[in-house]
Amino acid sequence: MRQEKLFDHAILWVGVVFLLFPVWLLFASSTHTTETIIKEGLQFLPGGEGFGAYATALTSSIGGTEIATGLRMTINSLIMGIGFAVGKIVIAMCAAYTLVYFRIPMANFLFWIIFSTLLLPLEVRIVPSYEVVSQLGLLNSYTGLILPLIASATATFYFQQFFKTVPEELLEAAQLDNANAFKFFIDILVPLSKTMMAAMFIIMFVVGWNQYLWPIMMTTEEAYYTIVMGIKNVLSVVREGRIPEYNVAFAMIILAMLPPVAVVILFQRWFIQGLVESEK
Amino acid sequence: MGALKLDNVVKTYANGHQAMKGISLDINEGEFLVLVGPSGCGKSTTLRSIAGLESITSGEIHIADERVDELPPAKRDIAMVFQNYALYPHMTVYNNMAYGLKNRGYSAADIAEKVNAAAKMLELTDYLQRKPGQLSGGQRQRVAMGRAMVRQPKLFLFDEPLSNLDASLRLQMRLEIKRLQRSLGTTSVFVTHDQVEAMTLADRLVIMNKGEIEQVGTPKEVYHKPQTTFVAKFLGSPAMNLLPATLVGKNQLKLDDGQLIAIPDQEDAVQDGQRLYLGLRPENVSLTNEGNGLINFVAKVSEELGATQLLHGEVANTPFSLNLSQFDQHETEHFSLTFDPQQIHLFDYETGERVNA
Repeated sequence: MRQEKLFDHAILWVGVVFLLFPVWLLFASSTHTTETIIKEGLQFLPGGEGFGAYATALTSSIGGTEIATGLRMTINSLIMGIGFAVGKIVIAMCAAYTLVYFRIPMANFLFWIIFSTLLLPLEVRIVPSYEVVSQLGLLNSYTGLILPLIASATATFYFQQFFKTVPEELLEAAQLDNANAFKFFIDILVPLSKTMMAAMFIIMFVVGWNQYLWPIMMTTEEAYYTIVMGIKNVLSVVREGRIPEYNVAFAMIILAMLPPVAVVILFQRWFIQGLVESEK
Repeated sequence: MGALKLDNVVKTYANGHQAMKGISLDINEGEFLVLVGPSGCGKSTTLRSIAGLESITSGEIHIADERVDELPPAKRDIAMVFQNYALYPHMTVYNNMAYGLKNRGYSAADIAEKVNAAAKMLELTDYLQRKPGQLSGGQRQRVAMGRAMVRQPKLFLFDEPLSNLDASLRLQMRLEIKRLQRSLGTTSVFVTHDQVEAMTLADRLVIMNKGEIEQVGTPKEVYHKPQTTFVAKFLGSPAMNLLPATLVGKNQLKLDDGQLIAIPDQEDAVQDGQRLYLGLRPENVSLTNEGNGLINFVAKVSEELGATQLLHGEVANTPFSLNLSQFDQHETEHFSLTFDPQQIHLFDYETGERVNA
């Protein structure tokens, strides 16, 4: 019994170490000077520089102008991640609501059309998407960053499945209570979907935060750089014959990881709370 | 003037299934009407059509003086209690009851007054800030009723509201519903498949079968004068015994094993040689030792109910049950049965319709 438990825990610890070790390497190295990293490679123990690299990462800009500081890029990433997640949830919920609760012609066909967009990820449609956004004059704008990515077949599917589990009698009771379609959605369905929304928010925020290809295509002005792009920019100074500031890059990577981790931790609590409370 | 009137209402589903084959009903002000029948008999469809949750294919529905079958549910001035209560799980008890009023534009003060009055009546005052998930089944049931009451509608509709409760609670809620309905005086339509519930609650019963009304009447009427074999079998537990028989003359029945039974003279209602069902309620038959011109009964199994005993056996190779107030074990399996000639029911063999008065 006890031994089995020990064994289970051993496996868990191996997993934890395996996942956290690279992160620790980055963290430890980020507290050394660039010279140490270049001469001696990645560091296993924290060095003497403290959090200096973090201050540099947050405040100084990497590019030609002074706009794209780490802080600015983090804010851009937050705007993109939140806009992306909220937008996807709103659109997906509306689409799922329509598909489940309204008798529309060819609903099934429409659903499959939505679903088939899973076969067309951004990478496939990036040239036409870029063309559309540029014609609309949305290059170098938050709208342009978020809007083309906002439709989500996955989220629509999840919400559709969830709405199907909501008892029909709730709709009927609401009808008798003089709630119109809009009120039913806002007053009944949205509060009932809290846990689903939290789960979707976690997933979609992380996906949005980690977007790389689209922001690179979309943005030429540093004001709209995101932090994931920024990491690459710190390192790409090699091309200019300069030595990249590895410690700053590592610090930026750690910083870039924090918000998604925070979102997961924050919403997970909410998520579980919602699961416990909302019983039918 | 009736409070609710259904005029030849037909409901045909898209797949061709006819759930209501021309239902006509007239319900009086303040009446408690119970729709009862086996599952699939159309009773729920009837209720949902009255509520407007189901559109009807043809016919008319009137509530008070207004034709409502084209109106949306909220405009029909009705309230409904659902089988699974359909409370909004994320709202407090107070908000559950207030939601319908809010959507009708009542002022907050009005809402508070109405909700508090209903809560007081239903003894829910201490629970107003709880969520439905934190309540027991009986309390949820009361919230569902409170939600219906606060609007003071012309008509209450109940869709098997007691079937999710356990036996003792069901009994209690049954009484409570009846008491509430009496004190509010609101016309009510109640759907159930439970005959005890139906008998105890109803001012009038509507027994439905396969989308048609078999009989409408007070509980006493439908129990003591069932108009069809279906009603006869549906009400009463154990069910009424039905023996196939042939009429000999006007006052004798010949069972299928040849035994003859004397019955009161049926005069013109029947013809000599007509095939009939003889219906006898288990409690209207008793055992006797003198076996002359009486029914021969072969006993098989007995069941003890405490107050009475059930004795199951056969008469003329047809299963037959007795409900006896006193029965001691006997050596023999063969008994004679006697019955009150006023308590017999005769039905035509083909149509199943009652032939005696």
